Amino acid sequence: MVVAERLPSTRTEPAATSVTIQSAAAFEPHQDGVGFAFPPLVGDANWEPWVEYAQYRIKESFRLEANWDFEGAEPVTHDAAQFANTIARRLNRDRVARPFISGTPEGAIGFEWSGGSVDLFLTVHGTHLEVAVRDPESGEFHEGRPAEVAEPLDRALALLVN
Amino acid sequence: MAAEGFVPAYVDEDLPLNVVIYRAVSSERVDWLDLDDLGAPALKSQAFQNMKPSEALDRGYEQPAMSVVLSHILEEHGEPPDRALDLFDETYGIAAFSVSDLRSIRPRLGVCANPLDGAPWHGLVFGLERRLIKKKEQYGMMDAAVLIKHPIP
Repeated sequence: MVVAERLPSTRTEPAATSVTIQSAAAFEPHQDGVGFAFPPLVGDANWEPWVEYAQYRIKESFRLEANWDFEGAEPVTHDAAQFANTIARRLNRDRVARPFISGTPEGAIGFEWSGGSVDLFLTVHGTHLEVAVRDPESGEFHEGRPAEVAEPLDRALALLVN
Repeated sequence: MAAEGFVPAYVDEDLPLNVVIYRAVSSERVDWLDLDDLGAPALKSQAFQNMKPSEALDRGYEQPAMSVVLSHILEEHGEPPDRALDLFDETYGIAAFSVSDLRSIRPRLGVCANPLDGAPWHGLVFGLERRLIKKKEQYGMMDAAVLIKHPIP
């Protein structure tokens, strides 16, 4: 099975009033074509969905108050929480391995995969994504918007899809 | 390579390589679903970040830096690493890595003592080549650090 759709790199749906998915349009490519392709699925019977984990972590992060880290962190924005829910569902649909999910100091939501064959960090802001990807063996490192780091991002996702 | 014109706000101290840098780590920065053989949760990169720039300014720091505790000063005062948790509750644990580890990270990071009232062992880790500690440096510290005291979720 080949997944040809693209994860939105920017929000496409209007802001909603709760941390739930409001529009299927969020799963579609952004009109400017900025996004990243998912690699082919290879199938893994051991893969388990992590949507509920993601929803729990996003809600917990959303509840954190300003300066929760005693280092000036901003509260997670509603838009970031909602976009993160969208991203989580999309990643689950494509059987990407479970990330660690937490709030970031800028009020975004971070999706982090580390400790394996690739390190990937998605910072989900209310309106856009930022990506950092590292090969832990070579130290090769890239960061930027999805379209700016498309190749290393695709390679990372290929290693994370089950 | 340092960004052109960038000058760090602090002087990087020439500390012995075996000095240990302790960092208080929130339970929000470890993965409780990823435990090692001893039951320790996996440390994540966000455990190693500078304070928010606006917060740094409010506290009088010219350059956003990461608060740490330095082992050689603790030892001078006969205090244990747990003093790194003086300002935190049980939801915080302690990660540790050495000055030697720090020196291997690129872009380079500096370290210096930054004594505070009641905490003369307080120090700062800061960027030597750029103002903020970014993801690449965070990964470097995450790779090196060991969680020596678990936070309680």
